[in-house]
Formats: sequence, C-alpha cells, structure tokens
Amino acid sequence: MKLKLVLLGVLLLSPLSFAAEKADCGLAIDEADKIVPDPNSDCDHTKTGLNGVLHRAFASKSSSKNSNDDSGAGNQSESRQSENPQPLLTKASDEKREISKDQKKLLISDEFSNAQELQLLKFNLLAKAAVNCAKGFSVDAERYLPTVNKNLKLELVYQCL
Amino acid sequence: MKKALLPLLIASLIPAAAFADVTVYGRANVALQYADKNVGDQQYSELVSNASRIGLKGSEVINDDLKVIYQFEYETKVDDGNNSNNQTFAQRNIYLGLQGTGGTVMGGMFDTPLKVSQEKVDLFNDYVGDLKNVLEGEIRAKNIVQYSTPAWGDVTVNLAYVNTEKDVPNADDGYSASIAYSTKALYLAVAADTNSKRASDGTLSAVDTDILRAVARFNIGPVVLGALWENYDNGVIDEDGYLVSAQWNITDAWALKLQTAQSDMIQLDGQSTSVGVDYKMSKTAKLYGYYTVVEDKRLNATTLLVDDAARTDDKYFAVGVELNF
Repeated sequence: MKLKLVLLGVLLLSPLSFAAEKADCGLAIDEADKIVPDPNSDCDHTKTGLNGVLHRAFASKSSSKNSNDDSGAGNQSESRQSENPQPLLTKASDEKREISKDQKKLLISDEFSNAQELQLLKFNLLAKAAVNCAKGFSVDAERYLPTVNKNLKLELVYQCL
Repeated sequence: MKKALLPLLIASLIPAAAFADVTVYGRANVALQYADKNVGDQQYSELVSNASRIGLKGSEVINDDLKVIYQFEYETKVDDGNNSNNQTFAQRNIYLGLQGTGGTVMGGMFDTPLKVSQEKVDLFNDYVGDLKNVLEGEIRAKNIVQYSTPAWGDVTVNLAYVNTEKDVPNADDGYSASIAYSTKALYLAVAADTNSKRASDGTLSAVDTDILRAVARFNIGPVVLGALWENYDNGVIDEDGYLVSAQWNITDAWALKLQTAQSDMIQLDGQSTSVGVDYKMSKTAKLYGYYTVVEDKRLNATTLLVDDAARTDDKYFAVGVELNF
C-alpha cells in the first residue's frame, strides 16, 4: 500500500520542471552520504585535503615510474639502479651525486617527515638543480625511499639541458 | 609511523590504474559534552566522537555507458579508540555496484532509501539530537540490493530489497523505496519501508512493520527550513511522528540551528529539542556547540503510570570541532 503511494508520488512529481539551480559541488563526504553517486557530477576532489595529498603523491610515483620506463639502453646505469633497488632503509642525508657520466644524470636527495616539508624540500631540490644547470634541466626520475628513522627520502634524478 | 606519511603509504599500496578514480574522504568530529541525566541523577562530562569516519569511493570505467562503482566506509571512535564491536573500525556504508545510462544497481550494506530520504533536514544528525533517537526508520541494512533510476530532471527513484537470508516461518525480506525531487532551493521526498530492519537483523515476526515518510526542505535566502513527517506501524503500535528544523546562516561563517522532533514510536511521548551554533573556520572545518534536551514518559510496567525515576529527561551541552577531508 505504502509502496503504491511512492509510485503515486512519482506520477505526481513527474510534471515538475522547476528551474531551480542544481546543488553546488560539495564535500566528498557529503556526496558519499547520498549513497548513490551522481553520474553527472563534475566534482573533482583530487586537489584538496588528504585526497589531494594522496593524488599528488601518487602522481609523483607514477611520473617517476614513467620516467624510468622511458629511459633507453644508453641509460644502463640508471636502469640497473631501478632493477636493483636500493636497500629498503637508507641513511637520511642531503645528497648530490652523479649517477651516469655518459648521460650526465645527477641525483639529489633529502629527507622529509610530513607533507609540508615535502613541498618545501622538493622546491629546494629543484632550486639546487637550477643552480647546477644554468640552461635548465629535466627531471628524469622521482623516488621515495624509507629511511632508518622512519621518515622518507626524496630522490630526484635530473640532467641539464 | 608518522601520520603525515599515511597518504604516501596509501599511495604506494594502490596500483596506478586503480588510484586514478579513488576518492579518499572522511570526517573527524569530536566534542566535549556535559550530560545531565535523570536516571540515576547523573551529571558528568564526556568526550564524544560523533560518527567520525574514513572511506574510499570510486569507479572503474568499463565503457562509455557502464562503470563499476564502489565505496568502503568505516567509523572510528576518535575518543575511545574502539567501537561497540570492540574493533577500531566499524562498517558503515559499503557497496559494490554498476552504474550506467539505465541507472545504478548496487549491493552491500548501506542506508536504506527511506533513511537517505531525510537528506539534510536533520540538522543534528550524528549528534545526541539525531532524529534516530525519536523516530524509527534510520536503518543501515545488511544484504541490501538497490536500483536507482537515472536522474529524471531533478527527480530520482530508489528501490531497495533487503534479503533476510532465512527460510523459516515469519522471516520476511524487506523493501524500501523513495522518490525525491532535489534542487538547491527545494527538496521533496516520499519514502516507504516494509520490514527492512527485521530482514537486516534476521528478526522473526508474524506481522509486517511499515514506515511511511515525507520530507521537505526549503531554502529561503539565508534560512533553511526543514520538515519531516512519518508514520510507523508494526502491528502493535501505529504512530505518527514529526521533525521540524530551521537553520539561519547569519553570515558565511556563522549559523544558528533549531530543531525539535516528537513521536511515540521509540518511547511514549519521546521528544528531542536542540539549539546549536556553527562557526565555519574553513570550507572543511567548523567549530560548533549545541544544547539538547531529550525527554519521554516511560511507564511503570505494573502501575502503568509514568515512572519519573525511569523516564528520560536528559540535557546535553557540548562544544566540538569537525574536520571534513
């Protein structure tokens, strides 16, 4: 009986064509509370909050992986490094070393313990690379490694243009 | 492990293809609450975690017309650590489904269409002033399968079936359905439910439990008005109940909230009245405070008179913080 009333409601409401504005893009949790996701939603939560940090972290990981995949036979020293991953735990230090003389690939790294530090550290590493490369540079790989003191170390592999 | 490394850890564990459409979301809500309870004449303060939770949701595109959708949401107690199941995480809305041009089909454990039909009319949802303390029908059903039509303009229809997973006398499957018209300015919904709670809990009964609910929400400038009416009939009682609410968005940051709900469904003359204020610190964080009074008229089983010592006449005052991410 009550289900019939609901179906009756469908018929009653169907002619409605209110020109009211659709709801704005809200928080991800509010969308989750609606249970059924809106297939027409254009909301992008990949740039905010924890979700944004995750997506940026993943984008960096993906970028690093692609760079490694793209490296050719001439980058054997770099390729070997990828195939033989470094020890799981590394010592934290602000490193800068040449890892492939043929390709003049350089590696710089530093350690961070939170998202804010990561942003600052990454900027500083890029600034250091810029100092070394007066004509600019390209980043070939970006790696994140655990350290003995339970932080993470970011390694940037780059070469001057 | 340092908490700041959690995002990177999660990112490292999820394959590239899978992470592209994953949304990590959650809510941390904790308040310091002062309670003044009638039974036992207790007065104490407590830290309360108001449905703090974390979840993952997303989709995997199969083709232009079809995608797989999923959501995994868990509640965690910010204050005590463990939930009532003595675990750190307790299951909330979890489903796996298919979504296409013909609508959405999903199965799992999640809120029934009747529960979801309340939308945001309950201004004290997840707090002690939650309508679930006065009105029936707030059911998160196990073994539920739901079909939702594509949006027909601003109208959506939801039909759900709750499998009792039993073949014994007086075990009935449950059904829940709703139709909702939703815009920013106006929300209207009608929902009905039959035996969903019984089916979900596996409870046996010779009579049906029916709930009918109607909901309306109007936005008039800075004021949001809400109303909910409900009828509950379980073969023993046949009661009506209601909730009315009003929110005045004084500025972009400050909001004043009022709400009252009343019914005889859960307790005789059950009533909950709340007044609250929200201060939005950012799009995702707010400070809030509320004062809630919960009352009923519990009868003594022998005398059938109101038992003043046993009845609820509780007052709550709380200030808290909520962060959504």
